[in-house]
Amino acid sequence: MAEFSTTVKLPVQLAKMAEEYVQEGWSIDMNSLIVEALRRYMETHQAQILERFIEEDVEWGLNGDE
Amino acid sequence: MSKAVLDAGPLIHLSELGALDVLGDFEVLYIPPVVWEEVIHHQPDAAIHADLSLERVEAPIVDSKLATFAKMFSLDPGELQSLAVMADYPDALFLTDDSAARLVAEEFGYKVHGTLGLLVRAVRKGHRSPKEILAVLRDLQKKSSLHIRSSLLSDVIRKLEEEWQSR
Repeated sequence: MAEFSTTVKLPVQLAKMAEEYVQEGWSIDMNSLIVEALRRYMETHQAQILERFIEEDVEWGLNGDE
Repeated sequence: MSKAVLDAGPLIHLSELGALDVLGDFEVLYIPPVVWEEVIHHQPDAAIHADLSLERVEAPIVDSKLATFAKMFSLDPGELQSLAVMADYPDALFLTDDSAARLVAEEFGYKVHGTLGLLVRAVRKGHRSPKEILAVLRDLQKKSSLHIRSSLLSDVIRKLEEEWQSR
């Protein structure tokens, strides 16, 4: 799998929590943890999900029965 | 008249847009402690808006199922608390602009909507004119921190123009 390398700055507290998580054995290493976190973020912020929410909001706004 | 539980997003975004009045007809708007702190920090005007029936509620108990979902979906503390409040008011509307919180709310069977829906609803309820809401939507990306893809927002505005013109 091709890989892309970048540098990110993490808030200290968040980085500490991530390190503890890795040390406890919940993730292989920091890199794997960040990849998994990013993947999960992308899963819950997919364009089609966001678009569905917007369509539902417009429909409710126009025709809601509450 | 209806009840709703607030996450911080809609309060902050509506305040940025000068449109907090669209929440004015809710009988009660429940707001948990962390969300209150978030709003006070980012948009204090929203918290003191005189015409809103904000009711601050105590920190709710988070059950294990919700705690698990919160971890799976990386919910922030405000989203978690507002969803926990929903457990006490399952017939209320959950108001959030966060997609992960919205997905979890759906999982629990709650009715959930966001800032955009509230703005459009204000026309249906007769609180704002179509012209006013279209103006708010056209300024949305300039005035608020609510992120909507430009082309999608344009599509929404076009649809609303057609819809309201035909009525």
